[in-house]
Amino acid sequence: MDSNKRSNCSRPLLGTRHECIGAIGLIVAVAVISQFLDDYFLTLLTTISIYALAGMGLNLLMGNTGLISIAHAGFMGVGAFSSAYLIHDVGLPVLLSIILAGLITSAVGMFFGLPSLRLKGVYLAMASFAAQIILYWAFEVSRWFTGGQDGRFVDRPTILGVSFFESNHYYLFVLAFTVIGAIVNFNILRSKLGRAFSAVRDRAIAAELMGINVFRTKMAAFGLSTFYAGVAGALFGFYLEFVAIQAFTLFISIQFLAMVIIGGLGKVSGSILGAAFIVILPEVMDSIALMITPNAGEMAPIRMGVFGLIVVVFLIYEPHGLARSWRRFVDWGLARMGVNR
Amino acid sequence: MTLLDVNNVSLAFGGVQALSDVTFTVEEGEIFSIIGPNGAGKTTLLNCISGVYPPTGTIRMEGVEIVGMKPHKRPKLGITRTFQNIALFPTESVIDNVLVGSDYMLRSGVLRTCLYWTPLGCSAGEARAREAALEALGILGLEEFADAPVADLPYGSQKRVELARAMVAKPKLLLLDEPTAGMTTTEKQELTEQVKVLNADHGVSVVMIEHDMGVVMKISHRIMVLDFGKKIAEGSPAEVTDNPKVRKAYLGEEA
Repeated sequence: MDSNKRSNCSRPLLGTRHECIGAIGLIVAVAVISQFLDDYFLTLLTTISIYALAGMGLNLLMGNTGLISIAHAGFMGVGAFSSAYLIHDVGLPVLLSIILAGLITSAVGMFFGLPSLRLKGVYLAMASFAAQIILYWAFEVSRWFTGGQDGRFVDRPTILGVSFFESNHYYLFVLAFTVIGAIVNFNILRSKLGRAFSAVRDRAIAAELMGINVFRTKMAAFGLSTFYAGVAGALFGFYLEFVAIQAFTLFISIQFLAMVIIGGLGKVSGSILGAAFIVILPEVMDSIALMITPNAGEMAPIRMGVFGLIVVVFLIYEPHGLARSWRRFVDWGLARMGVNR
Repeated sequence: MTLLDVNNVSLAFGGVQALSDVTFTVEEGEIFSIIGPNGAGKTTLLNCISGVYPPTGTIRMEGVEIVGMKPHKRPKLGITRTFQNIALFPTESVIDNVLVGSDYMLRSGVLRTCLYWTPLGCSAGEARAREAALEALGILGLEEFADAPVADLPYGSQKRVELARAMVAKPKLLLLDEPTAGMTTTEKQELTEQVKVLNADHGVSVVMIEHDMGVVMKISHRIMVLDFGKKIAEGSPAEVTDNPKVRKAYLGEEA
């Protein structure tokens, strides 16, 4: 019985017990520190957490199932507008609206995922590119839903009398979603669904002969992935207190792609680290630009170039992404502390 | 009792007649080998049974017609297989590869996965499946590699991982496509024993394609010989060896 128990524990949520404690410590630390940050850092932290959530979704699709979507900003938009609509026009409670917004996005995502049954690689990328264009166009023309070019206002949520209006309080609200998202992501990866995802990615025919319904697996990947995007979109809308269609352009979709690739495909830590990278790097470069010249505006074109360069260098020297760097760092740290893994 | 009933199965790829009117049955508890020269249609026949291609003719598993049935439904009927060129999932660990074999039995959709630890969740089923997978790996002597990346294992061991993946599916009918190809003599002997144990102790019927005549003669109850997509002989190992047509196909002797 004792050995039995151990074999179950050999696969806890995050690997070893030390890693579990580390992760909980990190979450608590971030939650506490966030309460003392000014608006600038809170904006960064909130954006990272929301992008991380959307990134987890995209990573399930790209990293784990080997499919692709260049429409994740569009899907985020569906979630943002849906939750705004459900709360302000329909009058549903906030949490219910967020879940429903996720489900609506999920349905839209599965619809646009249908081509994945026939298309692969760049062809599927083109199909999802079309999805992004269609969604953006739909946002523009559905004024009753999105406010068109004017966008629409959303209030920060109040739940059971607890207001999340202040940015530091709202961050905790976002963090809760990101943590739950990460836990669910881990659970998916270590159970039947996650194995089906990688089996379909690695060898779809063998997967099918082993009893995996490839159609349903791909649809589940699109559904889950866009559910994450939809919830992230809803959270993003609350944060900005204003949902504008310009926040969900093709450029953002491509940024999400870069995010999961730099972070590390197929790894939860990759989604989080990639989000942090893509949010923080431009800020760091802005600060450097300000040190060189007081007129940061003239540095803007160079900024994009340097950003691209850093991404390329990253892909060459750390093809498995920041998740791998992080792994090495943690292993090194544990070894220094003399912990036996 | 007849387990698998293959009747008048034909399949053409363009102008090439890969299989013509192949008919045979596999009885419960039998090890049935398919032999024949390269290009005789052996793997194609196995692919028809497991659903990769839809042939003409009928294939019945315990009376159920399976031609035209979706490939992923076969494990539920008790049919599972291994592959000529290893078809494992290379980025996964050994145990995750094996678990895929039994996954069709697990009831865990998206919701159960999200509720992992709750009574409705899938953690209990996962734990049971893991135990069964470890047991299968233990039987094949691979337990210590359970958490290793499957791509790191040598060829012979990867073949055995495939066998473990098929075993945990608890098949009634196991299709083996050249299970000993590329193995050393010792590995071949071990694998032959393991197939015999599966057959004798676990009641698994086996359809096996194999080029190593030593292995075939040692464990087969019956043998079918294919040549150019046609069945040219069927019978016990002794009958098949003595068949002049078989000698011609293999050795080019005049019949």
